[in-house]
Amino acid sequence: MRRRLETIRKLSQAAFLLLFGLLFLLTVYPPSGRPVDLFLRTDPLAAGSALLAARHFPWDRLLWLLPLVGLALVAGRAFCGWICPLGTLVDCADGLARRRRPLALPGPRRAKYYLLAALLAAALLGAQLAYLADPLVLLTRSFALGLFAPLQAVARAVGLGNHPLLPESQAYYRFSLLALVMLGAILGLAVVGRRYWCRMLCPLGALYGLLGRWAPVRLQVNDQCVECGRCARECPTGAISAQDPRRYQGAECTLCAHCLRACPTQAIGINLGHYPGREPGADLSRRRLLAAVGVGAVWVAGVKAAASQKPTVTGVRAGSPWLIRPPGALAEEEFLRRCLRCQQCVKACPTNGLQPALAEGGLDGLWTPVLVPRLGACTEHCNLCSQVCPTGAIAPFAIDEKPHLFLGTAKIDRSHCLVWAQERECLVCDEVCAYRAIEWRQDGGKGRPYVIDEICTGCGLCESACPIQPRAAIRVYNTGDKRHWSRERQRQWRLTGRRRDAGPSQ
Amino acid sequence: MNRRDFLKQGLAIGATVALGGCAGSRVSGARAGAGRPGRPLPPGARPVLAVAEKGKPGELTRRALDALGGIGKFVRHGQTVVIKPNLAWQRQPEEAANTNPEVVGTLVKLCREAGASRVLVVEHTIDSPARLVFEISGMQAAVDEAGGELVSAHEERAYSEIAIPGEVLKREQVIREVLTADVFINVPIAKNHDATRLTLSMKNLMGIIYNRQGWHLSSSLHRCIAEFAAAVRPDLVVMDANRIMLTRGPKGPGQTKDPQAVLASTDQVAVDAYTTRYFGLQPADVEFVMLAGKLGAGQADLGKVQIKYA
Repeated sequence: MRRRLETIRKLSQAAFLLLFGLLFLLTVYPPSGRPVDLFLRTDPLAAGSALLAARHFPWDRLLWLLPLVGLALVAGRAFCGWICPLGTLVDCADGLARRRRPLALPGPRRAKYYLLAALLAAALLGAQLAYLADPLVLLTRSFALGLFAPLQAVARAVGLGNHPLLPESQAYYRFSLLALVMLGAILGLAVVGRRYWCRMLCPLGALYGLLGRWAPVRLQVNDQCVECGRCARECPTGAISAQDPRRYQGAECTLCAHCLRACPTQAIGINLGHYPGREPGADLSRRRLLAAVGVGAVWVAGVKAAASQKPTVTGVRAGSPWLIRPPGALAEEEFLRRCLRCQQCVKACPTNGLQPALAEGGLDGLWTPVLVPRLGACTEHCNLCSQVCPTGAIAPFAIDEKPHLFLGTAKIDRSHCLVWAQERECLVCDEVCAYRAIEWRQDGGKGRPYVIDEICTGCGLCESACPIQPRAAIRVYNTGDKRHWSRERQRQWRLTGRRRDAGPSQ
Repeated sequence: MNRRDFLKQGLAIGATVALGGCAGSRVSGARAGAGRPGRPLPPGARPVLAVAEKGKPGELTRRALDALGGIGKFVRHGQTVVIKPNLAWQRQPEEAANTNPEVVGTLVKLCREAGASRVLVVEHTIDSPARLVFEISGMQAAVDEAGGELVSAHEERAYSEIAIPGEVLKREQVIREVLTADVFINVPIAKNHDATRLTLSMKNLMGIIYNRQGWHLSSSLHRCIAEFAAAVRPDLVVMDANRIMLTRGPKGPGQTKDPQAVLASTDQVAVDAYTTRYFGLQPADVEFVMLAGKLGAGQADLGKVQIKYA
């Protein structure tokens, strides 16, 4: 049984990694109604700090956090050893690196607590920073930006072609190299020591460690122990004391059961109840903890200072006019608090138009989703991004609400437009427009296109189809963004435009 | 074998392979360059136009084809059939922006019944991605059910370049499946179109080329349509006029009218000329129809067409 426990753990890891991969692949059009955001929705650090930062605590979202919080309360960091898909990949990388002994680096292992402290402090002060370091967010993002497109290339090379789970229409992602480098760096830490990321840096591991302070499920060593120290040498997280193998740090132990197999006398077991050898483990310096909280607070202050520059008209922060959010996205401030930058929406977008922001959203808007119409428009019959968002940063909406969810407004560049600047015949923007937001008015003896602001939702179909290269002669800007309005007010706004547009087409 | 022999043999084999390769490319080049002539029209024969009105789309399709002598006249056992509907938009069937899926489904079924080994329904959609268009239009379900394959031709590698002997058009990249098919059937829907007044069967052929924008940017869209139709003639045209879009075409939403008609003919110009009447227009009101008639793409003068009411 003791030996078998490790095998069962490995099977569990494989199953959850498989589930993670499957849910990732299923995050694709058409909507399936499956909980594809399961790992993020249940993540107490990611989803939890988004809720905390947004001061938004609906029961259903809180209930989703219960299973893993409960697991941590009962079994400490068992999540890390048995479930976490990133932990599993780290194990695989460690296996490849064949670095059997963890380096004894007691200092930096505290770093994860300080990181956690900074993230929680920021969340309490109203800014969600979990996106920077939460392992499940990191992994989802790396998969979406870094692995999805290469996976398609491989699938096509082996003749799977345009499989519905690997649609060719979604083949380009910004930041793909950076996403791969980040994942590669985490896995590459295998050359430094085993489970290095999990031991030293992972704030979610730190949170589970703290939650598991009084966890009743623990390692116990019986009197058959001969103090050979093999368990301490074999422990992937370095939780067991080398001086006294009966003592171990509960906040580091992932219950991976490696020690159970290593023990020559089968002295170690996993049991319920009190065991004096288990130490809580997080011996933190108060000064550093305060410093970490301070870092979190300073970050928030910086974010708030940047946000105070927003123009009042659009509700969108100054900066880039191309900060075009997906439909249903909450008003910018609220959106930034909730958005995990996990790229679920980006992965789901069937036109490939949603991309992670580079600089459009400012420093704290990094990796948030923006619509890049030249790559793909926000297509009329789709609300998948809102369905896969784990935190409700993109609020759910019905398809028939889409004509009055205003992301921005298209503007015609008359110095480029074939009709305006070159006196040629072209109607592509009008032809593709889903909502008939282009009207033709006589101007200089010729019908010329105008955009009806009250009808144009900024979906970008026109920009994506405009024949002018490389820069379209009709482009969407976020000036028409009306997320800060209620949906009813947006609907009324649209109705005023429809009345004007009641006449027949020319 | 000494080194000299080895080198000689190697050179000989290499040369053979290289020449063979050249020959191969010459052959395929010749085929690609020839255009797709379609069936030769018997000289002096009056083209037949079948008109089926008042009924359900599927039933009208069958009636129209029966009036032409049945699908067996066009499709034989083991042949590959390519069908080109108008399927550009993410619009639902009742909006009349895409060819009625029932018409296409019925046609696929008829081809299968006639023994066609493969029935491909191809489209280079304008809205993207294509799979959303296929789903929302109801076409995916209809084609699947009828036993055909619905294929998107959005990638340039699905196209081959052909020569067009036109004044404006010289070369065009055309969906390869269309060029190599045994039977090519054009199944447009009749709609208003802001650029060409109406979109009919010949305008629908714009969906089998890769670079549509090129035509928009050319000196005359009408001329491009007519020249292309004269070069690439379908074997059969089945016009869907069950519900037509009268305004705000090609995508709508616009006003619609239900003539409940399906037309079929081997003569694309005759079909287009006749269809204008559902909009209260004359063939002469649509420039590309008259132009195509002049260029020999078909018969624009309905007086010279044998019309069979089915």
